[in-house]
Amino acid sequence: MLQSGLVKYLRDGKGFEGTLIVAAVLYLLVFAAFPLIYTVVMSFQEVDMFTLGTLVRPFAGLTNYTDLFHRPEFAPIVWNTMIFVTLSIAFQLTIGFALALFFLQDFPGSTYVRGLFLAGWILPALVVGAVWRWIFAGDFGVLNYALQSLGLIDGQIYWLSDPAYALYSVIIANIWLGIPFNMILLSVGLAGIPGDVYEAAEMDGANVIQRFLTITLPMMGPTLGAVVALGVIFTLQQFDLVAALTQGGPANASNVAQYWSWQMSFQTYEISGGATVATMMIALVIVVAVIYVRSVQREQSF
Amino acid sequence: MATEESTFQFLPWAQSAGGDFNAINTDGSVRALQFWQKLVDDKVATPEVLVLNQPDLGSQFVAGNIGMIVTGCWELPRFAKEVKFDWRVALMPIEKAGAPRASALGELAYAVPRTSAHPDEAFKFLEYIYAQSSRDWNEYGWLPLDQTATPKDPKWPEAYAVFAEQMKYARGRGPSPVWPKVSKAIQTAIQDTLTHKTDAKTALDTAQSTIDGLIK
Amino acid sequence: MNQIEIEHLNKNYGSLQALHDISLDIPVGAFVALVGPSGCGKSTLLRTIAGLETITSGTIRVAGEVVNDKAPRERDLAMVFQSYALYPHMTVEQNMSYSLRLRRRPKAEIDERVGEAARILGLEKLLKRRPKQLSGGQRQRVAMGRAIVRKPKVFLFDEPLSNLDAALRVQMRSEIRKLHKNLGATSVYVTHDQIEAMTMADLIVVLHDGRIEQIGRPLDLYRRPANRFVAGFIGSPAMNFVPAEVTADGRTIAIGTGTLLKIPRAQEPGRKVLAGLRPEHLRLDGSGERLTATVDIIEGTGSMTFIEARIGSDLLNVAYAGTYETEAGAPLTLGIASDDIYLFDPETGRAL
Ligand SMILES: Nc1ncnc2c1ncn2[C@@H]1O[C@H](COP(=O)(O)OP(=O)(O)O)[C@@H](O)[C@H]1O
Ligand SMILES: [Mg+2]
Repeated sequence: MLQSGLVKYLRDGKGFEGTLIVAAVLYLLVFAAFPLIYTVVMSFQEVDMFTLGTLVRPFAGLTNYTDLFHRPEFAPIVWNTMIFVTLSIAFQLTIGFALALFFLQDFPGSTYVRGLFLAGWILPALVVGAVWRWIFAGDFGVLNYALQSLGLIDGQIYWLSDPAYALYSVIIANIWLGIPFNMILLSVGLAGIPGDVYEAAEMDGANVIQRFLTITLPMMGPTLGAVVALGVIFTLQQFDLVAALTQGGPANASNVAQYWSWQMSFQTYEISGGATVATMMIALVIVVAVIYVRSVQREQSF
Repeated sequence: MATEESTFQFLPWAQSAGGDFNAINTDGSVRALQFWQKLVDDKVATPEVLVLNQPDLGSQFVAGNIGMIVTGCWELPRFAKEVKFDWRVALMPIEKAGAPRASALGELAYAVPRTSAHPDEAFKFLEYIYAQSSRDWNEYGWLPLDQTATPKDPKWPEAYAVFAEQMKYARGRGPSPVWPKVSKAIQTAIQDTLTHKTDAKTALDTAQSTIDGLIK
Repeated sequence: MNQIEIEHLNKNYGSLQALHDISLDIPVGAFVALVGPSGCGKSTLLRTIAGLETITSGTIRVAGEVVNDKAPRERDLAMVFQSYALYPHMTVEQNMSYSLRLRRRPKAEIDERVGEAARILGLEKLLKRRPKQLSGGQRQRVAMGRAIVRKPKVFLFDEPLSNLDAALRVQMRSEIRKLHKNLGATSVYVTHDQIEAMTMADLIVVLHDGRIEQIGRPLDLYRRPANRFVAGFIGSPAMNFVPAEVTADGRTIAIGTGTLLKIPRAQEPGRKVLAGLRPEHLRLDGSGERLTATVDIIEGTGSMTFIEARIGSDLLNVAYAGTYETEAGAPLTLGIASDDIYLFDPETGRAL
């Protein structure tokens, strides 16, 4: 009686929707909210390997933060992270946008070639990292070989082990990795612009460039905002490539916040330090996420 | 590369020149690091050592791209199978005749937590592991710490002789509850020196003061 | 003088030929309707004029100049799209001023022209709104306004009213017509609705399967359709077609079970023909040529009465202006003036 009532409630009543919502909320609480709050809490505590098992740990106030700011590697890593995020997104976006526009022209085989681009996207970042490591290898790398064959360089460029190049090599690999995602999102955005709007602009006297500047760009505005926001989030998450290519080296030349946080947490077991970096990154991501949500809302208002 | 491996690789050089992890800025340690720096500067060693790990470098050796490698006996099974040229094993070099020899132990340190509910079982388990030591060499290319556990009829007898000799000079790293941070300080010094961010002396002085602060 | 001249225009989409040998002159200042059933090539023809579609062969001239290879923006034509195609990210004002801003006209001129168009179309209060905040009718007006501010040589309309409700459609019909009278610019107007074409156009071009069936003034098409297709397409309700045979003297035809009808012009005796009788020409008083039929269905709207009647196996629709009472199954005596009987070749459909 009770059981059949429950089944009926689930099937016919509000029970089904309710169950879905509860499941989603539970999932968020366990797998998103808890680790997030736990990380923030740890950034205000003294945590090391031996207090890892307990929750009650000495309160550290802001000392984790001040300690972090005073480390000699803090400024270079923040700077590296900014360069990493900015350059990655700038190039992922422009190249992705150019490719999206390119594939919008329906030339024979365009769908297949576009599909090939996606192949790069489904590769795990660690695999991509391994491939790029062969490309960038200093002594026997593909890139050096190609450049030397073309007569562009004489000696080797140590893409990964020269502090002057390491960060940019990781950025190049990350740009490559992010282009398909950017291209697909932007393709979807472009496909959402009705063709007759372009025709109307053409009739109104707009040439190709004017159509791009006055129709495509403004109508893509919300999509671009969303792509940039997601790009910031994904780029700040990009751990695997750094791990596979340089481990932040040499001498922190290519170290970025997300990798530093991991190094502290799991290599030197300065767990509160790692949590502090992570917390600051969370704050940044929240700001970006708010911008993202806003821009999605604006997109729906068209 | 900037991991425990680089500390592992460097310590014997420092130790053989009279330094150690808690005396990392002695003249000997500085000379050892300067020697490393010179190897890279003169292109005797590839700058890739800054980012490549031990297995990567081992692969380069297998491929014939590098002619000399400082590594452990655990690479023997692979090298024996894959290296296509004539190669030998030698003792780690020392700075000058009569200097102490040194090498690093790759073995793990086992710990039984104080709060463990089954300490006796844990010890039994450890005893079992060590009782199997004589299988290490032939089956895994490991040289057991336990000097009494000699393998029957060792494979690669020449290499075994060298490693067994080298083992006499082996030292553990630490152990210390703050070892990861000690190691990190040494790694940083190595990376900073090899990339010419600072000179060897300054880098090791910095490492020394960090380490002093850690182990008091 | 002609504003637009089209000669032997063909347009293929791959293996599909959408337009067949179209030749058409559109006089300066005329309001020309391109009419025909859906898929007959109206939009395609309009878009080749606009330059939005390339042509396979033939020539298009605008104001005497061949424009075959010119981009749309070099042709000085304005187009109103069926979907309106407003710029969603621009306000009404920005939508209308877009073309002028592209041409870098002075701000005062832009304001004046946009203001004038807004006044004509009653859009003054909506200038700051986005298309999304407008009703269908308002959007349609903005689309017109965007065309008007340009003062182009030619307006091209592609079914501009088909997304509006019936009442608004009737109202906009006369407004567009008025606008045309005031602006005097040549207009090419595509519609599938023959009533729209009949009421608005100076000249109608009837298209069918990518071919021009007939070009003429609205009443000429009604009175003298060149073929069975035009006869059936123009006029509402549509003309009745009844198989018939010319009698031995060539002056009458026999339909159904042998009813004889006098025809306007003598035809070859014994010839099989298709007789065309317009529903509104069939009289209920039996005057003129007389037909005896049976009532199948009767529908009255008060002002009009529509009867579906049967003569033998043939069906005839009758439209009578006024009320008439009868019932299904009742006999019906119909009459038609001899001059109102059309004859077509049953094979080619040509008017005889
Ligand atoms: N871009 C196109 N590609 C292929 N066929 C088309 C294209 N545009 C129109 N057609 C075909 O051309 C014919 C005429 O279309 P259209 O001019 O749009 O008809 P309508 O008279 O309804 O406006 C139709 O058969 C249509 O399917
Ligand atoms: Mg159409």
